[in-house]
Amino acid sequence: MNWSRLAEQVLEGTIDTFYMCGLTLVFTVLIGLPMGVLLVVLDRGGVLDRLGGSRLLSRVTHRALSIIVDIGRSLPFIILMVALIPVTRFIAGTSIGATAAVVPLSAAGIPFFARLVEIAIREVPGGLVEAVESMGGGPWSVIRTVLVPEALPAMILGLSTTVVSLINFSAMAGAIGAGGLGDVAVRFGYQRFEPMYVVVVVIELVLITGLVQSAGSWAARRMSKR
Amino acid sequence: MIELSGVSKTFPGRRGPVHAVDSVDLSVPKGTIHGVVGQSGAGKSTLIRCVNMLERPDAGSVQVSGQELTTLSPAALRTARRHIGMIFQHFNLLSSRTVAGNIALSMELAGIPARPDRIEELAEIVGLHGRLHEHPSRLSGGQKQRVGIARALATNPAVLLADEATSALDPATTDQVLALLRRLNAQLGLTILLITHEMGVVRNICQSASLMENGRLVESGVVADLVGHPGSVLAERLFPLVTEESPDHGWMLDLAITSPLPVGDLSLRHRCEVTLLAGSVEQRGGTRGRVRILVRGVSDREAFLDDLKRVGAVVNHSHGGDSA
Repeated sequence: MNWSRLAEQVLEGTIDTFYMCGLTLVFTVLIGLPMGVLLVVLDRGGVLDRLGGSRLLSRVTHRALSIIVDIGRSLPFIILMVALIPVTRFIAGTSIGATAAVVPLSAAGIPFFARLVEIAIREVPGGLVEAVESMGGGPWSVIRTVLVPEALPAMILGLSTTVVSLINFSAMAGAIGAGGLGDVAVRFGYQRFEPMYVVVVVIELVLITGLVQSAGSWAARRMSKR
Repeated sequence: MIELSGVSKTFPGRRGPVHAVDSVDLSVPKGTIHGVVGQSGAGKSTLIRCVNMLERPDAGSVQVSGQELTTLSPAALRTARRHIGMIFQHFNLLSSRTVAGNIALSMELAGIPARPDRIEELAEIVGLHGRLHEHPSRLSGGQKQRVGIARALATNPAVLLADEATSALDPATTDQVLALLRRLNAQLGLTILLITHEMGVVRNICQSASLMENGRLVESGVVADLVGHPGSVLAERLFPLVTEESPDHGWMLDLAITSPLPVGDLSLRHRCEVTLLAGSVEQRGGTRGRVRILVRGVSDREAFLDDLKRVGAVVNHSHGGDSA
């Protein structure tokens, strides 16, 4: 049992996983958060449910976003990865490697997080929105002063759930040469019959997941003064 | 100050359209406290939301401070709302902000600088000194409503709308909040329109009131005047008289009073027995109410009635045969 080789491979796998998931997280939040907000405010009864004066534009936009999110969430990641190969190649220049993997990972992470953001925002009591409107606040004020701040603790919890899912998906990214911990476990543990690799990777993943959840819960609790 | 004319709002219901507000005319003069009272489902919430256009009426005109609100553009409406304050049954405070932050919110939205000294001043006015840096979760219901009031007052509105503002508070706290509103009305000349299902609230602070049933305003008037109208349903709801057994002999009188009734004096002067059977009287802001008395052994009824008139009591109902 070559421990130094194991340590080297696991370390490289960890770095790859952190890099892939970290970069994906940036896109996931930047695009997923506004998307989640839109899913609530464009819906019937939301503050932007009359874009340009009629329900039509809002309904159409809402329906389009909803479909995108549903597709993103319902496709198994490994299929999503393969289906997006041409897109990946277009955006990242290649379809192989950790950076390229960020494309399908984001395609999975964005809808996932968007739905969690939507749920968090729907929990905000409608009375608060009414209060802001009664004070002369428009849609943007409602989003900025009520919806996002009040939903923040729930969104942070949603974020930590998303991170764990991304780590999960990234394990399959090894299939497109992205490296990462999952790839290490499969290549050495499964293909080369060295089960110790699997054990170490599993322990590490359990620890990371636990840390992410705890950090998320701690942050959510700090933010939540209810 | 507030003029509603022919205001109607209909919602689609499972069994046909629901006329939540049905052709309502309401006029609230500047500086008055007016209460709209009625049971749950009578349409009060919808009505008060039509005043600041949180609900857009299907028909009718809504004027506040002389400005017609139904024809305003969205931007102009938002500006107009800054001069109409509103407080709510469940307070509607932001849990993510402190008390100071919540009070500042209305000023931020109005584009006024939210100066700390102004926030302190508002907190003092509503009786919340020393709690500015706490979060709403640490406050009691009464304190939360005070924050709501401070927030509503921050932009110096001419009108305050109160949607069941004390319905979630216990009786003692309700009294405190109503006392605050009464003070604000007296000191700032604040016009207040409130809706409630609690008659006690109307008795406590309202100078005028309206009764709402099934979307229509069935009766309106100045409370002190209404008590003297024998047929007034509103007066009966506000000042109920309930006697369980009807006494078989004696002269039973239902009176509307606007000053304390000197029962002992009446009984001495007319050498008769005067018994108080039931009464519903409000003392805050002046005596007004209804009482039911039983008079026995009076020889000159005319003189007794004259005396009643002299002490400011109006006979709404007279009932009873003769007895020695």
